[in-house]
Amino acid sequence: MMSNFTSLVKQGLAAAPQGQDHPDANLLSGFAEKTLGAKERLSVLEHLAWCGSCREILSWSFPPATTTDPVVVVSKAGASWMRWPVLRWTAAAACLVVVGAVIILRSGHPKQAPQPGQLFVKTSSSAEKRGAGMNSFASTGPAPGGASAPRASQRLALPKTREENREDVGEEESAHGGASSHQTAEPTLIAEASAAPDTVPGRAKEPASTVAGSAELSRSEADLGRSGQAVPVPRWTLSSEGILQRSLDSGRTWQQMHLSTTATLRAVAANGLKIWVGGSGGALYRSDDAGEHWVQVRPLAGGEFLSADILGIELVDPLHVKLTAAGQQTWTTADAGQTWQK
Amino acid sequence: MALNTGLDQFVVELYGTSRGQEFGLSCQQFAGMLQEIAGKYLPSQAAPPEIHGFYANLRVQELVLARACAAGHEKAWEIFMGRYRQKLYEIAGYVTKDASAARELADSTYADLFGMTAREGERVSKLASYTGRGSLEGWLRTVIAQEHVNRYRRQRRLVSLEEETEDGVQFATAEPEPVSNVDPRVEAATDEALAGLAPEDRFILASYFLDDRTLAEIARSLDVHESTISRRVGKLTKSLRKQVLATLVKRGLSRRQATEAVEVDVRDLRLHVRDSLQDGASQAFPKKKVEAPASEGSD
Repeated sequence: MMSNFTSLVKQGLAAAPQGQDHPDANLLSGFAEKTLGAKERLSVLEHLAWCGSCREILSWSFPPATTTDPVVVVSKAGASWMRWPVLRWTAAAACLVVVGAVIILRSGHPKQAPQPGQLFVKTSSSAEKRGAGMNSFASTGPAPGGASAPRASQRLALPKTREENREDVGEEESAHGGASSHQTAEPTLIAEASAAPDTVPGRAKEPASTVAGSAELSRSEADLGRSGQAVPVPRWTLSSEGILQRSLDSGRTWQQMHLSTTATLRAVAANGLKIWVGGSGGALYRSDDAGEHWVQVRPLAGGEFLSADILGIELVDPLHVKLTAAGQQTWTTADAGQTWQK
Repeated sequence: MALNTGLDQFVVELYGTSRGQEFGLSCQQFAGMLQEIAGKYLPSQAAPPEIHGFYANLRVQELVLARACAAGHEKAWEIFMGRYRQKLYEIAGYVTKDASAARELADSTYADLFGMTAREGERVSKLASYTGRGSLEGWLRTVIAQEHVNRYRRQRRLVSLEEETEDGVQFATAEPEPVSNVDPRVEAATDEALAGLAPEDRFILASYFLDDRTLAEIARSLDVHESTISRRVGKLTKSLRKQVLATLVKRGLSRRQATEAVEVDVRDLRLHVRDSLQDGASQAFPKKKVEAPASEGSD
């Protein structure tokens, strides 16, 4: 009796629309390598839904999976371990212990005003930084664990001068063959902008808490405290004047990143070394190397470039980015900015 | 006008990147090549920014190499052989899982790429059809897979009757069609439910039940996580059954009658879909080389 439904499903799924052309090898390999635009991809997928031969060919179009080749993960982090009450409470208890340790350590070491030429130590809370007012960089977000906070009297290496930084950037640019010859895979107009970091040993322009649309992002706060030492990860923030700032020493010092734009930057998002920053007039930039080199991205959808102010950027993973722009516009990409949907 | 100038400038930049000069390709020829490819994939009224974006995504170095090979450029062939000859064998080995078949397939593909055939006095090389949409290696992988599938189908049709007789194979009559006592309402409801599947959903079900692909393989095709595919397969089979039942109830059957008519529960449905799809494997279209044997399929 089972065969009744079986044959029905078989008939239904096997029935194929007539007159469909098979996609050529270029389209099939483009589908496998995810180089097709959204419309083309859908068209190929519609064919693959019906054509077993093309599905078979597609399966061989992928290189053999290796044990080290991870399946692309798209889903957001919804940590399943959080469902375990024991782990949840353990994590909460661990946080309390860390915070308590920080407070105890801080209370044992009086704050010392930084001397000229000395890099500024990071403080443990935003409120404390805001209250200090002088010679300290504010940074939003949770402070790293107490073990990572250097002592106030510690003298660290002086930042490079502007000229030294410019030389470094110039060397890197020439190593990359110059900005203008760099070919990118962006479908929109691209201009490579060089960033001339401007190390600012003084205070940040203003406390980060007053910056609209800014975010300080670090790759992994969890790295800190695990080994008991601060792990340098790029941190980013935006000043209220719309200037991008970067810290490579967990917020101790900040560098201003001067992108080749007059736009006011309003939103920033980072994932490891990849960072996206956007601002007025649809200005959008991306860097894959923690801000050493930048590429301008001009989202194009439906024949129109994004020209509204970018107010927010959400970086789900290196491929999926969502922009929120003025006029309640939402622009998304699933291929790191090669194509966009509005 | 300014945009076209910008586009022209971009084409010149791409020409520089492509190193077409090394193969005696002029900038005009290169621009013509890009226009031909754009004409194939873009609408005729594509705006310059769209064309610009399309060009920016092309693999121009590999494109120029492939076209130079198609034109018989010696240096291009040296480079091609150095990079891809071994890969051809590796890919063929991966596809056929048999060393001798792999060698045969690779050699045959190489001959097609080289252009052993001539049409109207001009050599016909398969490399001329590469358009740079994806990597040249990926394209070669697909070409080899296509050739393998075509060969397999040709061999199935060309099995010698005498050989079969010697092997003791008796020619059976055609399998009798099972007597169908299916309620036409059930049939219609099932068709309706299947027709309502989104292309991606249908692709997943066909890959899973019909092609026996693993969840990981399907996930890789769609660039999602394996667990996503697992959830979707379960959800889709459940949903199909629900839809069929709901439609049957709407058309006058009681819930019990509908369930009996469908005759399976969710767990069995998965098995049945798999069984049913197996027989409907590879309904290829006759337009291109991949053809179904005459006995398969309907119409």
